[in-house]
Amino acid sequence: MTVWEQLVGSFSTQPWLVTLYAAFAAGLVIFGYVNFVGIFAIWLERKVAGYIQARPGPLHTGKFHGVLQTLADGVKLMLKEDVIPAQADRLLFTLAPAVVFVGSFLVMVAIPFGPGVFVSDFDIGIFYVLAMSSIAVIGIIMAGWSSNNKWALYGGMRSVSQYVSFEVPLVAALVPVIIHGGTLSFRVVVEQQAGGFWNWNFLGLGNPFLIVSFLVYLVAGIAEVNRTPFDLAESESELVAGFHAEYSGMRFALFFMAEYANMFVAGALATLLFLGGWHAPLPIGPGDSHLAGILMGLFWFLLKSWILVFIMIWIRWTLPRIRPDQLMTVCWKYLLPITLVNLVLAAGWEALK
Amino acid sequence: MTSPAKRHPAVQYFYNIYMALNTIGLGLWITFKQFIRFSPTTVIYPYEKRELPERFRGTLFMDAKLCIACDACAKICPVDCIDIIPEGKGKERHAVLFDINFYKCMWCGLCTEVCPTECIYMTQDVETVFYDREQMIVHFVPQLPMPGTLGYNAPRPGQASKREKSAADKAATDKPASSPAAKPPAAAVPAAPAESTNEVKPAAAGAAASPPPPAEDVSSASASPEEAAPEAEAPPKAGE
Repeated sequence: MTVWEQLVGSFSTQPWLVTLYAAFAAGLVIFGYVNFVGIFAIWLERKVAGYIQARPGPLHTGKFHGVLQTLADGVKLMLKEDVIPAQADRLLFTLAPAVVFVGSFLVMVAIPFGPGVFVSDFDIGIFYVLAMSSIAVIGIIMAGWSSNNKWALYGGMRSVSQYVSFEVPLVAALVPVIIHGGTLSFRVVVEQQAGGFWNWNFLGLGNPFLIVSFLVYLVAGIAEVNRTPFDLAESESELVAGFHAEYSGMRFALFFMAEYANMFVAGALATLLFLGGWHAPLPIGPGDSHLAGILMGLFWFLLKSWILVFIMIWIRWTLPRIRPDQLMTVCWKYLLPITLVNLVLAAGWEALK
Repeated sequence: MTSPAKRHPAVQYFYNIYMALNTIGLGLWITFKQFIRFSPTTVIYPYEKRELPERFRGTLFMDAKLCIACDACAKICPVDCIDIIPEGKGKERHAVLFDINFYKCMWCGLCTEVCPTECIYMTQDVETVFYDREQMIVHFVPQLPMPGTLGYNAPRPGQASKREKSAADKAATDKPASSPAAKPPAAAVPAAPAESTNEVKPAAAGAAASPPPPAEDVSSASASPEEAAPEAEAPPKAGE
């Protein structure tokens, strides 16, 4: 008996092995995609930044417009010395990048990339994603604390306060979608938006208050991924680099990758909940059951998500960083009242409809 | 716009929201226009080079055949980066050593302003890179090949002989064609000041052909383009 036959034979006697192998394979796919997101999003960021600032950005590495530049940078980071400061808390310091990365990795598990293309179809997908994306905060405060560096600690504290604050309007902005759809499952929410772009939630034909939800989500989502108008946690000009000031080599790369993966997740959430997920703008083309339909769904989902990532990059290179007190003003004085009023009105609309 | 104090707080609240969206939209529109009408202001450096202004202050260069060793440049130099040892009296006076220490030079250009014969001037060379610190003290006597080659093209200590040899070979091949023209030293002198003010002089090419040490004596061995040759042969005798 060959190894392969033994392997396949063991499936019938021990069914849990199938689950194990499937989970392993799915994990590999997601891991590969997270890495791809990191590499591609950083390249996109640099190109967009260059074009906005009247310079071409990376040009040489890789034949076409420096597409392999990020890969080369990644290889460079892997070869770099892995410095751990003498006074750092070694255990937390080494653990923190992994925790941050795992946070963005776990979120990917619940995201349906197309019709039937998902790792796990949770009934409580939205809840799960919101919970798992908070894991990154623990990693960030671990990194800030264990570095034993005042700038890193400031950065970590700012990041956590910002994250905890913006979590409130973010979740409150998503609740009208949940009320409207009556479900916490991404798949069901997307299927409710089938049949043309006029059915997508962000236009608010089903419930006009979803428009406000969408706008608030965009603002809070950018704040959640710590990007520029709200990147107080790693503001280079005041806090050197914030919580990852002491990190070098591959640990730094993990932080970087997690940041861009989170960016994609924020875009993907907006796509799934407001922009119709994998549905094409017009209800034409093959059905979701065909392979062509699945590929089309994958294409539309990725296109919409990456357009949102582009918008985040675009905003980053347009707006300056705001002060901490302004950040808290935006969160508590503007976003929170707006979302709460919006939540009540949306719930009332659903009740009276 | 108007002072915020004039508005009722409730009005101000919504006005703030309106202004935030308005200004963000304005900013995004400006960067988006930049993004789509992509016109880079940068050049792809090693492949394209930006045109430098006409009077750009690049690396110093000294034309040994024009120098009268008056020491004015060394005196005015604020960082004392020029070393001159003169020789001869009156019209015979010339420099036997003219060193510029680029480790000290700060590109102020004062030496070029005081020079009475315009023999020291600034080129458009910005790629002044040296392999070691000793190399940064550049000896301009005997005459260096041409402006723009002080830096990484300059011979390293070990390479010097090889480079001179190849230059001598080149001179030997050029010689039959141009040696007849290589004569009157007197004719070269009036022409030289006019040439020496522009940056990349054709005269320098002739100078490059002559191996630096024996430049005076082996006059017949070194030659190439017409008017360059006489100047290159006799830098110290340039006064006559």
